[in-house]
Amino acid sequence: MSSPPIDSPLADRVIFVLATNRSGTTWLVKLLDAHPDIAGLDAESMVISGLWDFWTNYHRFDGTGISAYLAPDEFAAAARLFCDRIITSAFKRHNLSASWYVEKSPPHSHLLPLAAVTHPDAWYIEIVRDGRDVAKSISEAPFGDETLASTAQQWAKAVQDIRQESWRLDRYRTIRYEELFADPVGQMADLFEWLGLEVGDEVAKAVADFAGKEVSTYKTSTRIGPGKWRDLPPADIRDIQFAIDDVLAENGYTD
Amino acid sequence: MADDEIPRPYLDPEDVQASALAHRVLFLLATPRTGAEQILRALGCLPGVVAAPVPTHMFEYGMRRMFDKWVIGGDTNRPQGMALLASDRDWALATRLFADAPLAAAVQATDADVVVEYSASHAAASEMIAHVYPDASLLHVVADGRRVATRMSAGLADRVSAFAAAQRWCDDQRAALDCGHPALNVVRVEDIAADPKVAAAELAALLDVDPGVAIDDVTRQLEPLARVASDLPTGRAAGLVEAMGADLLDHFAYPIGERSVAAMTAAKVDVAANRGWEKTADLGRRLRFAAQTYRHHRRRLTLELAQRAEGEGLPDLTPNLPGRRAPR
Repeated sequence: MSSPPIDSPLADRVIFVLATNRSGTTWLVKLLDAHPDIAGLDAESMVISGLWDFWTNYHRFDGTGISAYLAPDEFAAAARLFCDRIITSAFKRHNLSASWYVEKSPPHSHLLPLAAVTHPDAWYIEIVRDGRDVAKSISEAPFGDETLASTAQQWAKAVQDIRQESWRLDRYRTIRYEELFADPVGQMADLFEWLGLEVGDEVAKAVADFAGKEVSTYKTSTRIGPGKWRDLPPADIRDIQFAIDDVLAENGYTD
Repeated sequence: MADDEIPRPYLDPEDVQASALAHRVLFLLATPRTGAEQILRALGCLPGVVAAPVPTHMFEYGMRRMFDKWVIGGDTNRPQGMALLASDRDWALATRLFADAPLAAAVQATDADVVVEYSASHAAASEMIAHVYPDASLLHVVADGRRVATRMSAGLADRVSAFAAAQRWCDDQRAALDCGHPALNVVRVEDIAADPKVAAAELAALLDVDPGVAIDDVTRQLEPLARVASDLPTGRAAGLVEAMGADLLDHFAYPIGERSVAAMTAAKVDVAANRGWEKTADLGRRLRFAAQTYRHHRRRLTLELAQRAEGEGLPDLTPNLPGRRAPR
């Protein structure tokens, strides 16, 4: 197993939830947060995203930049220390009583080369949702001002970027939104077991209680759950299919 | 409030001591082609001082994004970013300690007391430096913008347009002047060139270092700054600096000589055109045309008056008017 680049107080206890917006990431964070050992906030920290320009600075090709001063392990150590300080501050500021932290920031799906360097010991959970549902959901959100095809392509890019870089991650797992929706208690029990966390009746009950609740909605559709893309007009469905049918098929969304 | 209007935290004064580089950093702020590299090398000759060998670029290409991700969507009902996790104080300290890493490596490698660093992008990022390094010293290195912009827009390597060069010089000076850093010092390259030895002593005093015998090495590194053409350029880049940065030239005591109305108008038209103000640029072009036509007609009038007076034996009404040719 990979060790963190420093002697970290959060070693082996950070979870990154990966996916694009409207894939169920907030819901999954809440379900993970149902475990007493895990804490999460309803906030996208952007902590890896904040470091990204330092990463590209480190990889300048002209011989200048911070790579002239820091060896790769020194850069990794400094970056991990920064992340630890931010998360530790969150524990203090929000009086979080757990020892694990779950984080979700959609842009992190595209920044895995850096995350793998700062957090080789972290647990990476990708939640995959039908791209057609994601496209519909993004287009209905206040920030969704693009075409359905382009929002669908956002989903496809996130999925492909994660898959492309997942080889860097020792602890990586995919969970399907539709399967989680169908059996939240069972799927979460499986996840907790993978994380090495005990699951008792209380945790199962907390998951079951939370599973049916609406989270992070912009009061768009009237119901929760998969398959809402079928309510789109046929022309819109065709647009989405043309844009991402290959990635949909790769991920088993062939209906 | 828009994201870029939300104030970013400053490093708490009580947290400065947590940094291994507390009060041990000097950043040079200067537009490219000002001569800052020479000053950097000179400072590196002082005992106990290490000149960072290459630019880190760490503020414009590193820290700026960290600042951008402090808070996103601050004007929405679902803001995101590190501000939702960490406290202001903890975030500011974390960014400082992260930024310390490359410079601390330079200090440790040489066992120096002070590190001096120059990146061409630091001038534009001077406000960020004030947030993260309130305890550092800043040396704002200034040279006549007309010379700097002309150099930037000449040559082949890394050439930029005259407008971009002039704009860059103006933006860099304003950013440095407005950064609000408590330890901002200004030095003019022309003053260093006038007396490198005195300048060397002053630079050492800025770092509170006794130069000792190293003063000669420092002076020798500053002497090339004196080998600069004394005449000011008068080309397009220089005209643009005068048009956009006359207040800055005045602030740094660079005199602006007499320029013709036509040259000044041309520079202003240039500014308007480069900023995409087409109607204004067009007005300027018409003004230039009108000025040229005015001069032409004025010359003709002067000559005709003189010729008619001569033809009719009358006194010359126009001997001192412009355009009047001297009698043969």
